[in-house]
Amino acid sequence: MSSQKATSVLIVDDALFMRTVLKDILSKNGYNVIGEATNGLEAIEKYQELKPDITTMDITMPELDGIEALKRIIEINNNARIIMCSAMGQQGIVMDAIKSGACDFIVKPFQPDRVLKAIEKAAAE
Amino acid sequence: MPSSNNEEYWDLFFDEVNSHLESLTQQMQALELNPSSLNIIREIFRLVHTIKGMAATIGFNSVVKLCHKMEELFDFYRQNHQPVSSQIINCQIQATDGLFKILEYISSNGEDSSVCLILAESLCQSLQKELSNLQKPQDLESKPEKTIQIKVKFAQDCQMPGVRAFLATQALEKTGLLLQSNPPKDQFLDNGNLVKDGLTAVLCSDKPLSQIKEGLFRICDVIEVELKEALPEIESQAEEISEKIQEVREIYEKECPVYIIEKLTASQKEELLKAELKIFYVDLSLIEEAKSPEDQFCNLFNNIHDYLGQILQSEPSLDSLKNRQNLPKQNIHIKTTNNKCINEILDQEIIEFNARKQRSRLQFILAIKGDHKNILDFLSDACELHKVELKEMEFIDENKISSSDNLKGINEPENHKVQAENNSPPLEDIINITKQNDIKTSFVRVSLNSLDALMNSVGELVINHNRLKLILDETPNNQLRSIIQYLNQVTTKIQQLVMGVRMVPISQVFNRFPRFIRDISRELKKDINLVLEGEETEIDRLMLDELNDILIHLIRNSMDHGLETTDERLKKGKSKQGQIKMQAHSQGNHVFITISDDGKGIDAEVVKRKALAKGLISEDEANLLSNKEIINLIFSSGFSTAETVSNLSGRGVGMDVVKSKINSLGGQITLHSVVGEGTSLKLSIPSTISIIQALIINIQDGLYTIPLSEIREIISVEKKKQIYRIGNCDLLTFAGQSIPLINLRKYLCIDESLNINDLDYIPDHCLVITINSEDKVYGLIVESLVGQQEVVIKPISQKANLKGLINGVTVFGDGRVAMILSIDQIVRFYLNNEDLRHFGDSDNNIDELSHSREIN
Repeated sequence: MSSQKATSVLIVDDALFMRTVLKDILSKNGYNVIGEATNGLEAIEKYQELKPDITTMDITMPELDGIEALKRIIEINNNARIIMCSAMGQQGIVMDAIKSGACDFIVKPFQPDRVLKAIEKAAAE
Repeated sequence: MPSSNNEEYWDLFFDEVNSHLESLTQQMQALELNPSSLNIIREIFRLVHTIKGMAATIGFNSVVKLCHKMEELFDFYRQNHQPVSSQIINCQIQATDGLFKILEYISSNGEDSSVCLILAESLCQSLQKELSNLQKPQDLESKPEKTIQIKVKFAQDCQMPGVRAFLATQALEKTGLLLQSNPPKDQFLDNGNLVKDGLTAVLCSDKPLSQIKEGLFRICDVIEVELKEALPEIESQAEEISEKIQEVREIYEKECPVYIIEKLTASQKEELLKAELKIFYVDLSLIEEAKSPEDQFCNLFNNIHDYLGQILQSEPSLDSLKNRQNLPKQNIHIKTTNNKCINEILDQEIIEFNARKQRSRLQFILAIKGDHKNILDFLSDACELHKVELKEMEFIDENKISSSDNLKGINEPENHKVQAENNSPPLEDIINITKQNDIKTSFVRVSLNSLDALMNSVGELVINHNRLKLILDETPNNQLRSIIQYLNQVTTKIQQLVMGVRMVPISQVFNRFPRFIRDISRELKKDINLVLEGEETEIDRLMLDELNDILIHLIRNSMDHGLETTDERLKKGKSKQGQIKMQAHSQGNHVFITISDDGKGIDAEVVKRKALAKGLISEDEANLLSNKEIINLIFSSGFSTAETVSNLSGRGVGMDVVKSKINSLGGQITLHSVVGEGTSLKLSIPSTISIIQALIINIQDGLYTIPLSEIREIISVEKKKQIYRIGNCDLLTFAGQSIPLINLRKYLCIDESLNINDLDYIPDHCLVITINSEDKVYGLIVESLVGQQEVVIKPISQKANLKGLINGVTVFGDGRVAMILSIDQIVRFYLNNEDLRHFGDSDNNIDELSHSREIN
């Protein structure tokens, strides 16, 4: 990542509320949220279109779930940095996601400092 | 099958390939003795490559496949000059055996089937494994890998610690090989203690520690990372492995070889006495971690020489230490991977430990003016000493030294020198072997069949030449006479040449034995040294094939029953290594082969007891037999003196079969044994079996021939004065000896009506041919002698053969046929039928005889 340009982020979540919360946290801390997607298919489309530095990916979504979307994006770009957003108690699914290529995860309800830390670390990679 | 197209070349192929394989086996052995010789490696590579090329041409794919893999492995060594490990040599020897088996299968079944391919495949796999093992450590050496113990702690409020731990292991795997993690990777999700206990892992990596640390800290909730380079001991976390290794070490410690140091020469002793020096035997070993023991020892030598005293002898010697200094240093690299490799690790460990132990040991004899304290002080300063043993030697009483120390046999320095040389043959010898083989390959190959056909035709030529001569004797035509004389010369020459062609050096059989001994001695866990002498002695090729089995049997006997185990030997004060010697030399028409060992010898008492127990002889007979005769009882059928029967020999079919086989070849076997010192077997075998010098005799108008080599003398006998009967045994007294007479008429079933209870069948004046069999003399009564002639032996069918009494027949020039008597078989029959065996060679019998004469 170049230091001049803010890290670009694509947010994928079916709930507008969650997207808004996440977008607010990131925008306030200097990240550039360049797009939002509401399901897995849209996420793949948007990813190809926008080529974000980091994607946050909800797991449970209509049309195509986050795990499947993750796999397809990784297929498109092996180095895609995707952070999974999961509810508590989904440890097994998160593990699968990590094995499938996700670089990190954040747990809902979002705690701003944790979210920022994860994004920060992902951006530094 | 592509091979079917080339069938015409099969014979040629197998013949050549077999000789290559034999050379290959030899070279492998040479390599074992000298694992860093580039010459041998090149030669093996060449041989394998040649075989591969030949097999590819004829279409034996399994052979090609296996050869290719073998070649690949040796190519590695050819490129990277380093000593070939014994494990790899073993693997290659197995592969060579595999080649033998595959080729045998192909030649007997006529095709290269899937069976061969499977065998080749499995051998290839094990070779490939060695090869990848070889290539791997090479890569590792370029950037030294370290084993790192890692502890990762997660934040107290960490969410999904299992996934965090997984991310951590993922990060570690990016930097190296993760050997172990605790909790194990597959239990991360179920583990509730991750936050409390953290994650520990063992990583094998060449990356700097800081980089590994950084990678871990990049993971959220990782709050503490601890990295520690592991020591080898800690590294082998599986405790059982280290325990096992310890076990191996202990075993090894006990079995550490004892070296024999050459004896002091007389002049050295005198010098020492004059100078009032004290002699110490020093046995020291360096600590295990000692770096380059060779360098340390060389320095030690110099320092001792400068400050302490004089080193008289040492094992290893200074020269060999200096040589070893120049060898590339082997980096010992122990790596613990997963449990699957325990055995490999242990094997490696043993080999390395072995090598280290050997390298760090030095024994020497030191002459100094001070006492043992001086030596100890000096040594502990001079090198990284682990253990040292000092013995002061008194050399006034030679026997004392030999019993109290490892240094014995002071009078025979040469003997030990020979042994030392045999242990590590100089490189020139091995090169010489290679050269010899090269010369051999420059000969034209002739199939054995055509050689036999040629031999047969030459036989016919000799017969017809004799016929012609017979006719010419009656016609006084001088011109024809000179022609026949010239023909005679040519015939003789052709005969000699053909015989010469048939002759091959006995090394062809002898050379199979080093390998044989190597394999079997491992199995028996005996340390055996084989000495070959006179391998260049030539012998008929047919004879050679017959000899192989016999020799294998005899060598097996020596190894199994003759030589003691290492412990027994040491207890008896013999050298640790047993010796078997195979010698060959030719004399006249005979080849003598001696097989001797320095084992325990044959105990006549034990033999006697066994023979009695097995009912081979009666108590009375046993008392009459000399020790030598008793020992010869082992040639009786149904005899075995081994207390335990191993899978090699000792089934009791051995020696009698060997003996009858040798006899059927027209040879003899004699045995000489001294209890505690060893046994030697002497075989005397005619160097050829097809044409012999024979005496032609006449019995009841029938013609018989006796090989001239069997005959001792021919005696003209006056019946009344010289022939007596005791019991039902007829005896001839001649030159103070009583010779049992064998009535050929009886054995050859010539005269059924013969009354053998009467001496009447013997004419008043008769001829007795005396023969030697098993060191005893027997007499054969014949009516008249016809003449002496070179006869061609024609084999006779088993059915027509009178109880094996006939070796074959021969055809004379005039068309008459004569049977060739098998003397040994006749004597054997005689001994089995008659009771008074012991009259053979006992001089005491003369008294008995004269006594019975008086009664008469």
